[in-house]
Amino acid sequence: MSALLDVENLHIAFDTSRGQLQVVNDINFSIQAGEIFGLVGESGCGKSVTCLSILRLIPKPGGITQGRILFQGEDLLKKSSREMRRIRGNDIAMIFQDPFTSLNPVFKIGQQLFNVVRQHSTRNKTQARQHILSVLDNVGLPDVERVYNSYPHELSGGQQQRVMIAMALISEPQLIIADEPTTALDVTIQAQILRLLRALCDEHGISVLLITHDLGVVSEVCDRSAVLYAGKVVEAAATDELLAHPTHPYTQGLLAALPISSKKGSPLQAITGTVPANPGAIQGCVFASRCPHVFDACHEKHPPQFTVSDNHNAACFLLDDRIAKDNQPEAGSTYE
Amino acid sequence: MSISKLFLGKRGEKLPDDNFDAPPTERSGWHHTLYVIQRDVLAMFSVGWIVLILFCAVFAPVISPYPDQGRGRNNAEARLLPPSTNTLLGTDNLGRDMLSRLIFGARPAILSALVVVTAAVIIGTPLGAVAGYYGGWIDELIMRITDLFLAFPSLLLAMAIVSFAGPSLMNAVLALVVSWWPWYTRLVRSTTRSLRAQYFVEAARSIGVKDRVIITRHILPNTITPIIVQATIDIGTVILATTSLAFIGLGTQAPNADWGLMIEEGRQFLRQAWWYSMFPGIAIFLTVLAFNLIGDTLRDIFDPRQYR
Amino acid sequence: MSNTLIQVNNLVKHFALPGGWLTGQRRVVHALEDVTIDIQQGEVLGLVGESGCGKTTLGRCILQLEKPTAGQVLFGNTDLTRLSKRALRQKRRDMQIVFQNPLASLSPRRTIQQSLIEPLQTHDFPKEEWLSRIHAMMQRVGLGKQHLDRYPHELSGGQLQRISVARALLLEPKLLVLDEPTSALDVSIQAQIINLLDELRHEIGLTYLFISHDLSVVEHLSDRIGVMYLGKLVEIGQTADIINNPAHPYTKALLQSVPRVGVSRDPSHTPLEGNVPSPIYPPSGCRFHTRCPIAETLCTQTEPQLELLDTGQWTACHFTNKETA
Repeated sequence: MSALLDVENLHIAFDTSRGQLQVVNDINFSIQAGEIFGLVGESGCGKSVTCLSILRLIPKPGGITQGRILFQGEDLLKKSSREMRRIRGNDIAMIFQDPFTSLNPVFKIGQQLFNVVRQHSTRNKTQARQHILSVLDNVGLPDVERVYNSYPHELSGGQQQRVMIAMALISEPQLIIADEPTTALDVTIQAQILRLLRALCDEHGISVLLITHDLGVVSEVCDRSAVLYAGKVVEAAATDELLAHPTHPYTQGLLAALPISSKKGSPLQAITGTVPANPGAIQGCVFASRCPHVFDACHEKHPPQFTVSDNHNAACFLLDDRIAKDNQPEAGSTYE
Repeated sequence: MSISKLFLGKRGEKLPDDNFDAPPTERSGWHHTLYVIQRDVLAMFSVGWIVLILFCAVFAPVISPYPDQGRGRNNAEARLLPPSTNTLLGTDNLGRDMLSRLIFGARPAILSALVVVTAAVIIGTPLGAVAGYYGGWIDELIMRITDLFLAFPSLLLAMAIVSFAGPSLMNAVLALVVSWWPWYTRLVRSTTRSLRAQYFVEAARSIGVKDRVIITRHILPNTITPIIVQATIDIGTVILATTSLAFIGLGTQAPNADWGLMIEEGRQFLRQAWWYSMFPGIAIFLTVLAFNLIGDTLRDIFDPRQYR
Repeated sequence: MSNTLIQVNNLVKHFALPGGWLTGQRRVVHALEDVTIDIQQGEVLGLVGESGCGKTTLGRCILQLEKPTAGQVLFGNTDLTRLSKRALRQKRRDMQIVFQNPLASLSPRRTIQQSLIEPLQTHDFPKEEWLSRIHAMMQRVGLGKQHLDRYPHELSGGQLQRISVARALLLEPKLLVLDEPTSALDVSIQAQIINLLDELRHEIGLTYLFISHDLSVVEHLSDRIGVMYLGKLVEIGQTADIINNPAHPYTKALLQSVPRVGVSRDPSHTPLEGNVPSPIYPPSGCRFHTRCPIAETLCTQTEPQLELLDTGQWTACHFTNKETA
């Protein structure tokens, strides 16, 4: 089965007054039809820029310097800006973190959705209205007629995010890119929205690229996930496998840093140090400066992706039998 | 959207964690300032023109070809001569060298603008800070007073003052100060209100710092940036206002040189001597434009979202 | 039994919204409604709830950063709400706060050292002790002297939050209010800060009021947890009791809504329906009845009071109380 979206060898850089800053460095992943794919990482790891790059929306002075983004087998980077406009909204839709600023405050919800429908389809007025109401109903909004005639400020945060999802769904896209869609929401509302995304996937076969910093969210809804660190994919696998058997020291560290019930009373395992300022300039593994298992090979070149098992790979020399044999971590020194 | 916004802009987004012991980044911002200006041709022109005008104002007696004519001495035999190698920009109806008159005309323009803006900032800023910080009835009182002054047409005020005290540049400046300070009160008040809600002001309050100290130590230093931007743009606007007042006879009086006054004098000779009104007009236009452009550039330089 | 450090009695905070005086309908946000809570010497009291539940307002009212509309805040024997401005400034030495956003908590145009001197200067510490105290405190929070002459924007979020903690502790306060201290930080940095707070507390014998929307963080640090909903305290008790045997239906729903790694969710669980009602027009009776799965007519009319359950926690619900009784 060929993938719906294939991101290959993606490089993104920004020009700053202090020179070029490489923020994404050789990222590869693919999304199958009907799955939720999670892109997890901490701030500055490049996850937001990556998802903007898929729609070619990277703000100046940034740009894609290398790589291919294949959507249904066609390279999006080769499309004209006119073709891209048609793809945005029609085939790929986007949901942002903050619904409050994503909706225009001076227009009614119905009006805003109506404009989207008219732009992307040939429906007449009554058909368009019917379609909007059914989509609003689909995303679980109560009393859709009232919502249709409301201004954004008259809705709660959770309702606004549902409207944003409705706006993304309205042109019946194949892929939805959701950038931290629940970060600005309360946990009880977050649970509702995540459940909705899962249902859309299962019932309508829509694929979702979910960008988040929250491993809990990933474990809740994502089928497969990739962990990003400093502009690189360090580990990717089916979510259950990833969380149950993390092999990259960074993934292990992230999981160990989470406060969970069983760890109460003992200190949390913090990852020492901080993310490198300009990872593009680092020759070896980008995590080497914070890794508890670091050895000589890590500083020489960046580790390639090693296969751990089917559909599970990680970029760490510990997985390379030839290099790592003498450097295997001693028992007890790993994160528990 | 700028790159830094991607990293720390959105609500609730994480802050980047840089190298734990990274060397201190460049602090002066000069590097950044030069980077912005050299990318912008208009900004470079503006800086150049403003430096030139300031130089003219300061060294007028030294650099003008005919300093005595610049001060107002007649030269009746050379009336209304067109531009030539002798008088680069021609002469006026009293035979004075236009270039010298223009160079001397920079003095009242720059001086009055600096005085008006400085006085307006000095009066307006503390009032705005007090109104914005305390709120309540103090705020209400100060803001209603500013409304009163803003509602009064500055031209009418100038005429009123002049009819009492006689026409002079000094009185025109006074009239402009009276109608200008409320803008700074408003600017500083709104900046203060948003600063007051910032955590660092809250933190100072929770430490037990006195209100007076909070205003001078934490609020005012952070209002300087918007004040500088506004003041720069205002210098251009005030030049326009003082020259206008001179034009209608309420500002600088003959025989002193003033760009507005020169346009007015040349008005009667528009057909015979196009250069008479034209050159002072161009001088005003370019100077006001330069201050506006540089104000915009300063805003870009100071914009914290681009500062990284 | 330990001593009570802070006793909050029947605290009410209303924010009047502008306008409405023409129609005679002044709109009021009911941020806190009749909250009674105590903080014991040396404990960590966690306060959880969703946005708009009043947890932050409660913290700010305790510190008198916000003047309560009614009620008492007893610090020892003094009622903070009745102190003069001057006396309150003196008293602030005993209670400090750390905010959510570390970059915004420090004056952008002042160096770290200037920011750290401010509390010492304000409370008349001898000048010759300033630097030695600051150096010792910086070392304690894991930073060095080289950070002192930097400006806030030159440091990372984790470093800045350490500095905020240092500034608060320089005054040797008895109470430290932590208002979402880790929610602007990444997980790996969050763990560093939580560990630091935990160590400091045991070393110095501090009392924390820990405010957060993140249940797992609160659970990790707190001795007791209070749960708030729409300006009301709905449940309070020992951490283990609240986490393992929540009695209030809202607490239960909140616990189930948190996505946790490695804990697969009970598939039969349905997320809480609906949205938090507006605090301008709070529902009658029990404020949770509009979303409560077990609400009955009684709940729409009568407001439940906090009652002590057999399991040890206090809960404000008509039905859970009877169930357990």
